Formats: sequence, C-alpha cells, structure tokens
Amino acid sequence: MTIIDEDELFFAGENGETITVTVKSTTPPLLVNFDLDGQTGVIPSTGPQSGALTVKLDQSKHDPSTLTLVFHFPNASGGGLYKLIVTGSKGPTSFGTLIPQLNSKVTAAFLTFDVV
Amino acid sequence: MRLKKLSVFIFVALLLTGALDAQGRQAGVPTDAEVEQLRATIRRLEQTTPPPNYEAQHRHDVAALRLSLRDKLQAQKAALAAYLESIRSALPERVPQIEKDITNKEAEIKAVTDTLLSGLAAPPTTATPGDDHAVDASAGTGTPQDAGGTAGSGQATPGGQGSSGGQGTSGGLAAAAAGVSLLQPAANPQSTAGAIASGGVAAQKQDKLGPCVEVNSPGTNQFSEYERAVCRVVELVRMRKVGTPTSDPDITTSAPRPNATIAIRGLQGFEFQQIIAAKLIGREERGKFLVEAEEARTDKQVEGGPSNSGTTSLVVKGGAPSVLGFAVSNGALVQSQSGTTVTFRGNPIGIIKLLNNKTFDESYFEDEKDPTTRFLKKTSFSVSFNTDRGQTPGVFTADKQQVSAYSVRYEFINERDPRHRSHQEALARFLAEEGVNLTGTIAQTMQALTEVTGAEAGANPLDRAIRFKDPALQSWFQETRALITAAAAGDVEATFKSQLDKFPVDKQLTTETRDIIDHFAEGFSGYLSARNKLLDEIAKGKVITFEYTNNRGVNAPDLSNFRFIAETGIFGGKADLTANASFTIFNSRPAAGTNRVRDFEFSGQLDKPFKVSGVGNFIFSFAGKYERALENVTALDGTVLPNTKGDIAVGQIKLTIPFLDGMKLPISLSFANRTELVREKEVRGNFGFTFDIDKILAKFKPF
Repeated sequence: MTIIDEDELFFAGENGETITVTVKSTTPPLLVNFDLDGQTGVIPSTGPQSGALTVKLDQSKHDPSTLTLVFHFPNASGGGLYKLIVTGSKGPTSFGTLIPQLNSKVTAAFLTFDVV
Repeated sequence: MRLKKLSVFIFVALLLTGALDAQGRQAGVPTDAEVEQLRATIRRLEQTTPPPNYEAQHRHDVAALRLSLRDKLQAQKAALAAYLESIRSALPERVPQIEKDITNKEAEIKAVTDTLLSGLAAPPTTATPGDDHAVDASAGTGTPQDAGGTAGSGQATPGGQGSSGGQGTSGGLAAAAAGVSLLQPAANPQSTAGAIASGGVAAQKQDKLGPCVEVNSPGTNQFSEYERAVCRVVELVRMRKVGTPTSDPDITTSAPRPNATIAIRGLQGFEFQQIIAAKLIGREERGKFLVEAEEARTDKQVEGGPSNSGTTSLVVKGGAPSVLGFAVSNGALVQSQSGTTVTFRGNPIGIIKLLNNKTFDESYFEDEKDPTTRFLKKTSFSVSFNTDRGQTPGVFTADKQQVSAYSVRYEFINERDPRHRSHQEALARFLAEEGVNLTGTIAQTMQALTEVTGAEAGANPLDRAIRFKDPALQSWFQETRALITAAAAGDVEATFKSQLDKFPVDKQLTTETRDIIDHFAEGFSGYLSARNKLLDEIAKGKVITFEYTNNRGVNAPDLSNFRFIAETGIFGGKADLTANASFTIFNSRPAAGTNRVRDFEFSGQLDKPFKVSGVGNFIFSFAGKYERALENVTALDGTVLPNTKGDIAVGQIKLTIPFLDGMKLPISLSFANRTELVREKEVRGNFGFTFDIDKILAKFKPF
C-alpha cells in the first residue's frame, strides 16, 4: 500500500492485498460505524477483532474500493479522541492519524483504495 | 522591486538547497512514499487547467511543490551516500545497487531543477485589473534589464547546484528573472489571504461565523453545525500544517506539513457535506438545523460548596461527567471564584498528566484497562482558599493560611456518562440503527458528489485524483485548496472563511447536487434528532456521589462534613433535580460535654436551563435547605454564641447568566428564618463569578 494523497486518505494497493484498518478510542467502548463499498455495519468494540476491519482489494469487484468510517462522540463535553491506523499486507507504508473530537458530535473518515 | 526580491528568494532557495546537498545533509530523510506522493501531486497539478486569472497562482503552487520535491530528493540522496560509505567494505555486493540509486536520484534532482528554471522562464502572466486573486500587474512585466541584473547576481549558480546540479547556466538564470512573476503569490501567501479576507471580492453576503478558537472549544453549544463543520476543517488543516506532538509511533502525521490543505474526502468529507448543505438549504426550514445553535442543556457547576464564603450555592451538585470527563481529558483544573473564596477542583489523573506535560501517547488509549486509573478517574479533589485570610487580606496568595477547606469526592454512580453500562444496550441499538443509516447516507452522498479521475486503462495510478462532479463546486474547491495550501497555519481560518463567501450559489450548482444534498440533510437531521433523544434519556440518569470536606476555621473549631449527593434528570432530562444529605462533626470536641456531631442537613435544588437567543444558555434554579444545629455555633473569633442551637430553613432562587465563553455570573436571592449566628429572619442577595480554565487551556491545546 502506498499513499497517493494523504489529505484525501487516498491509497493505492495491489490487487489481492489485504488492508487492515484499526481504530482505537481514548474512552472505550468504540462507537464507530463503517461502510465498505456499500456494505454497512458496526466495528466491533470487544473481542479479538476489536477495532479492526480488513479490506481485501479485489479489482474485479471494486476499483477503487471506498471505506467510510463514522466516529461518534456521545459526550458533549468533549475530550474524545480516536486513532486511525491503516496498513497494507504488502507494505511498505502504514498510515496513522488522530481524530480529535474538538466540538463535534460525530465525524467521519473517507478512505479510498485504488487497486493497481 | 518586489519582483527582484522574489527572484532573489528563489535563487537563495536553490543555492541553499544545493549547498546543503553538497555537504551531505541527512536530517529528516523523507520516505519513498512521501516522495512518490509529491510526484503524483505535481503530475496531477500539471494536468489541471486553472481557470482564468489563476494561471500564475497555479504555476506558483506547482513550483513550490517542485522545490519541496527537490529538497526531499536531495535528502534521500545524502542519506544513500552516507549509507553507501558505511557499508562499502562490509557489504560490497550492495554497492552497485546503491550507486545506481544515487545516480537515479541525481538525475531526478537535475530534471526537477531544470524544470524549475524553465518554469521560471515561462511567459509572464498578464493580470486582470481589479481581481484581487490575480498576480500584481507589475509581476508580469519583467524587463531585459531585470533579467540581466538577476543573471549577474546568479553567477554562483553552478556552485549552487552542488553535486546534483551543474546544469545551471547564466542563460537559464536570466530567463528565471524574466519569469519571476511565477513566485509572486508564494512569497507572501498571507497577503493573498489578507486581500481576500478584506472582502473586496466577496460575491455573496458574508456568513456570521464564530471565531474557531471558541467554536472548537469542547462543550460550547451556542454554535451551529455549520460553524462546527467549518471550524473543524480549519483546525484539522491547521493541526496538520503545524504537526501533532505525539510519541506514538503509530502516528505518521505528527511531523509538520506546511502545505497541508483541505480535502474532498479524507477527514473532512463529512464536514464538506454539511457545509454544502448549509449553503444550499440552510435558509430553508428543513435546513435550519444546520445553521442554528442547538437547544440549551443542563450545564456543569464549578462553584464550591455552600459552606464557603460568599457562595451562591445552597446545594452541592453531583459529579457531573463534564467536570470529571473534561478535567481528565484536558489534564486541567476547574477553577471557580465565589465571593472571597477561590476553589480549585481537579482530578488526579488529569493533574499527573498536566505535571508531566504529557502530549498525547498510547497510554491515553490504555487508561481504561487499568483498575487504578478507572478508580482515580472517579475521584476528584478540591481546595478552597479564602482570600480574606493570611497576612495580606484581599490578595490571593494560595498559602496554607488561606486554605479554608479541602475535599475529596468519589463518584459511586454516574449514569449520565453515555458510556455507563446501563446505556450500552441503547448505544448499541443507536449504532446499529441510526449509526448505520447515517454512515450509509454520507457514503452514498460522497459517491454521488465525487469521483476518481485518471482511472482509464493504462494511466499511472499515482496520477489519479479525487474531484467533485459538479463543475462549479470543483472550481471553487480547486481554488480554495490552492489558497489553503499556500496559507500559513495562522491564516487558514481567514482564508477558508473568506472563500466560503465565494461559495457557488444555488443556481450555479447542478440539480443533481441539490438532490443529493437534500438526501444528506434529511439523513443527518434524523441522526441528530435520534442522538438528542438518546442523550435526553441519558440525562435522566442518576449521579450518586460522596464528598468529604474538611473546613478549616481560623479561631473556630475545624469541622468535617460528610455529604451524600444524588442527582437525577426530570422532565425528559430538560431539568435537573439534586438532593443532599449531610452531617458535620467537630474534628475535636470544642468543650467538655459537647456533642461530637455539630449538625445535619437536607437540601434540594431544581435547575432548569433555558436559552436566550443571541445571548446564551441561562439556568434558573430553586433550592431549599433544612439544617438542625445540635450545638451552639462558634463564631469566627472562637466565641460560642448561646441559644444558636435549633432549626434553620433557607430558600433560594438563582439565575446563572452566561457572561463570556467559559465564564458565568450566578445571582441568587436567599430567604432564611434565621442564620446560624442570629435568630432573626434574613433576606440576602449574592452574586458570584465562575471561570472555567479548561476553556482557556483548550484554546492552546488541540485535545
């Protein structure tokens, strides 16, 4: 996986590469939803797969592949903070950033994976 | 004259980078991915056709990126050269490959430098009079004399190219001087932003937007979703430009990136959906939820307890999650001043982090796993100082003599924390229903609004880019993105807000865009309604707290107060009911035969917040207290006042007025059948002043 555009969270990965997206919160449990190429769900907050989501890039199905993550901040007084880490099974780059609550109730990250 | 200065600037940049390269500079070696990303960005920009009057700005942006690319390549080459020397004898088989890589780097550095110089020689741009975005008209009129003069000053260029260059010629330099207008916007991006911020080009009525330092302050609710979205974009870009202090190795965005900018997707895509929706339908009934501030909610209390001098509180509030949560999150104290009493309330975890001057690290994510930390998070303490005491009465010295009380508080139950186990099921349901709906809506909105370009067969994947499908939207975004890229961190807010005034008006956007945004607004409105409903349910939750307070008298006996505090929401969480039960004992018997228990009391308070448009959130409170004094009261001078045993009943009404951000003015009127000291009816008015230092700290800290 390589980064095409950091601001846009636009990545390029090889066909068949597995992208692992990991989310952590300063104040568990995680309150994160996802939409992966039209399939929506909740990222598990407990168990061995807690905070993790894997994306297998398949050019025949989705190119690019798009992942939307929605981060909820239920505590109106602020202080929430999420960490987002994106790694590819074939390297060489990983990406990690912080998503602070600031004064938001909810925010999102839109990740685009170009399959090459 | 400005042109000559700018030409000097670019030459100095080239000379300096060349000289540094010659000395084998290695600091901050960029990764291949960073370099690749930069190449891709440059390629994308090269293929982009700027609109009229923006050609010069566009060329400048590309040139600035090329300079950055050249720097990165030189750093990589220097690192490779150093590595080569260190392994030459130990790993001779690796030498040819590394030498080849160095040669490749040198070739690319040369190519980039050539392109920069030839770009500088590009034909001058003719500015459009009256267009603040256009380059200064004089910038495009370089004369042969100018060129000759600069060429003369550029004789050092061959040396300046260092080991990577050597291609520089006086002809190239002369050409550079002739085309120096290319650099005009870069030399002073603030001036560009300032010119725009002056409003001379605003095509629409300017939005009234709160200053982002206030809008982004956690817990402030007088700002609209639109303002929050705008300021979130501003803050995310600003943070990326200046970097995020962290010791977490997972975080790859910690280093400053001055050319960070706005994004269509990324971390700002949701905020852009809100901004577009607010711009399109914010003035219509169905869009008002985006541009109007939310309803008032119960606020936190930071005053000291009722025993403190001059306090307006008759009842002590429970451990409101905002107080603890905020202190924990920000590592700060909550301070209040009431009459002559200054109270500091804090949390051990927050204080430890503050004293260690910790920036964000992995431990923030581990706190919840540690039972000690979990316990400490529920614990808070306070120290009150009476400024009438001490050697300099009236002056806050914070010495031991001024300590009038200290307390420790433990929160047994806090059902108002949305993450309390009693809400887990409701939260899970909310995520599964409203969360999924919102996520699907905004993902669909993004797919409908944007596209990936350059995806045709055979194209270089790294040339791909994300853009808005709507031409007017894309044009606005492209212009704004370039300005934000060039803006200094401190100018991002002014630049972005100024560009919002140039946002495409309704008729300029396609019908499809409007339909998509309608769909988004409907989905987001539904989410916010469901969220408020959930929080109203949570606000009904109970808070049960125990507090121990040691009151230190000057001449009067020291007292220990044990207080149980219960709090619950009523009227669907729109109002708050608090009850106290407490008893006080003498730390040591003041006289033989005196009861150890001094008094017991019961009190209650109802708080009803309400919003006054344009002013803020007020709180109206009713309170009552019954106290049974089992012993005669001891006056401040130590005199025991006879016949002061008995019943005391107090009623109070209070209005808490928002003053400035983080400051409140509580005014109260109390009625009592007697006071502790005098067996006569009393009516007393008090006013206080509360100040939340977290709000101030939050202005300087991102989290």
